[in-house]
Amino acid sequence: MGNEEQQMISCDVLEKPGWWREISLVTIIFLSLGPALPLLWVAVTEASSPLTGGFALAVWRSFVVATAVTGLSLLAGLPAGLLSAMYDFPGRRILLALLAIPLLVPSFLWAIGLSQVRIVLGLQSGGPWLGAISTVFAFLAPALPLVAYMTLVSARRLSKGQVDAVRLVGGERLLFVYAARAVLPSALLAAILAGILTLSDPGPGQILGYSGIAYEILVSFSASYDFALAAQQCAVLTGLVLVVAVPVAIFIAPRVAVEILGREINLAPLARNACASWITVGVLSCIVLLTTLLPLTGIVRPLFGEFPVARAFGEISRTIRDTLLYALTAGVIATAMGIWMALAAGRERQLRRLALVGVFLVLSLPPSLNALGMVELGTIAPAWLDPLLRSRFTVGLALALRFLPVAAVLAMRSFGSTSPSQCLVGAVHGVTLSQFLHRVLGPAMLPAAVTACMVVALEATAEVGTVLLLRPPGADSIPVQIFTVMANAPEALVAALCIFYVAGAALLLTLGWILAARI
Amino acid sequence: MKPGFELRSISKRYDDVQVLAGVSFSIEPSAGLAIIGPSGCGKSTLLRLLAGLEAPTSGEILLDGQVISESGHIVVPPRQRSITMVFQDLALWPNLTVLDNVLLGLASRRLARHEARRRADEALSVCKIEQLAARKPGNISGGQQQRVALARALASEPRFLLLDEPFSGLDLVTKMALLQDIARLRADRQITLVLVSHDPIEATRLCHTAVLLNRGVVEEQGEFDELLREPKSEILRVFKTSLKEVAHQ
Repeated sequence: MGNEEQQMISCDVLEKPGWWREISLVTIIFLSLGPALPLLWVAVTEASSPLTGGFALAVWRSFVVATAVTGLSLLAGLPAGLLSAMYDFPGRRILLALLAIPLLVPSFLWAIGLSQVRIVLGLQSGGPWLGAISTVFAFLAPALPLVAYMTLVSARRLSKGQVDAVRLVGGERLLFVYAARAVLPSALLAAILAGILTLSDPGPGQILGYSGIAYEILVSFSASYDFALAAQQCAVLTGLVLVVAVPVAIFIAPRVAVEILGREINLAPLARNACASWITVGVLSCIVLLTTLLPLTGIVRPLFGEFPVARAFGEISRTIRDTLLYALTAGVIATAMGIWMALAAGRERQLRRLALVGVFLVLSLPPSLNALGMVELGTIAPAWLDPLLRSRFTVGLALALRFLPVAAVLAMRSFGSTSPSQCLVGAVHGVTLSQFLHRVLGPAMLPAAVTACMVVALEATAEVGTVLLLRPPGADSIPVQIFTVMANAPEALVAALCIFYVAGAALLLTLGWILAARI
Repeated sequence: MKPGFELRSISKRYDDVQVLAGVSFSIEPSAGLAIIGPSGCGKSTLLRLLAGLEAPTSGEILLDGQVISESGHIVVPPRQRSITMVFQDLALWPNLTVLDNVLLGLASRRLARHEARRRADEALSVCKIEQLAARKPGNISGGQQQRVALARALASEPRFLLLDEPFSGLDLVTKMALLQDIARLRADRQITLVLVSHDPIEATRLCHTAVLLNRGVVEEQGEFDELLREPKSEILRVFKTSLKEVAHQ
């Protein structure tokens, strides 16, 4: 009887208001932030060594890097994204694919490459200024593509009519100015997010001699074994992040909601303008050269003397199983939660804004917050919860919660691109919810689900901080293995591992692209 | 018991916006009723209330004398009203073939597979698109898509067919052919038709009666011939002029 009742739920429940929507959204956001609560409790209640002057310096350094990355990524990423959105140009697909690679590779890999470039240029000991510049440069590798892609997505919302109207009045120059103003909130949001993400990433600063607050937390937990201090530092970092993220989430994210979640209708075709096309190619090539090819050249440099293929393969075969396990667990869980979030937010403007603000905050917060929270939970929880809180699954779960925002935004975009009347006509014809999900919405959202799973899996693989804090003994992922051996292993081995990783990420990206296009 | 639809003092409000206010009228079985009025006057909302996709804020909707919707509550869900609807954007499911679109429209009927297939084939044939059965909606023309939406609506053999401006964007020749076919099907199958439209040709070809909405209230209602004889409202005057011009041409 119960099953029959369930089958009789009409599909228009997806287009109607309902208490389940608010409850679902609050539950998902709480699940994403919940593991942090035990850590914050420890930070507030337990006494520990006071925060030192060294920590204050680390905070200052993090602030400098984050500000520079935000400004520079906006300055270069916005025009690059805008040009890519408006004009057709030779090698469009290849250039945009190359631009995406740094988003899927751990930032410390680029830092390793840049440190090699510094050696070639004779700049290995240049003091804090050089460290700061190099660190900013390393962080720009993922930040620039993030801003450029966000701008591109936002600019593609401009309709053919809007574009033609401005073109008729003032030509390409005026169009560029108007389009830039239209996409500025999206680009600014991405740039600020990129800046915030640098605060939580210990890798580039450590490698290039300008370590910040995230590295201090890692040292407190992994080297000093002072959990309370790590918790306090993490709480301070969270506070700093929230000072920036909350106003941004409240004032900018809702304005961007329509652009990144809305339906794509009457898209303006890519213009064929020889001059603008070549400018676009030039700008994108420069970005790809500086953010991808230059660090890659540095990574490859030690391989000219020796290429330890066998040893690198040995390391990879030892860690590939756990790497894939973390990636797949994260991808599947994040995608399922993202789709749930998209259905709960539906088309209701306020709920979509709430969802976007929620996911922005989740992505802004340092990954160490949830990871250390899970460590604390694992410590105080009974032993029978170990499979959930102290296992490989825990790592995948923490990574899924970390990258849920990516899956949620893709799912919300996909749901937003379907027509509400497709569901309503189903309701008129008595199509049940399960039939509609199985026959119509499922296939419609499948490409987005596959893409989300793939992107989350790649992002999760590239995330080092969470895995470093949560991995069970002997269960390293490939990037964590590189991160832990880079200080002691031969340069050539580290370089070989880095190259295999970048090649693997590029290959998976290509496969994902082909797969999503075919579905 | 009064057969057909009866609307009693229907009001609908979205937050602070009053879309419909005290709307009352009846729809006789097998009749054709056009709901006309300026943009934003509540025509589509009225259609959604009839379909049971939304509940009125106040008032009652009766079908064959039985209350099917009342204040804030849908008593009889859409699938049990023997209604089908063709939406303005047609709402075809893009991933399904034309045939599957029609078959999914029969989902609630619990028909045997061969019976569902027979009905779907018949609907496609009636709408003259049987040759498109294996195609997907994205690969056929606008006029053909209209026919698929119509076939899906007719396959379930409804008593009431609601049309929400489904002909906008069609060229005149295609539109006239479709109007002719729908008028024939309506007469053959004794379907009650409710049409929301801005177009005097569509409205007068398919419907004999009309309700003129303005700012959420019924301004005029009755037989088209009578309404157009001495039109009181601006929109009916424009209708009359347009129809005269078409007749001259």
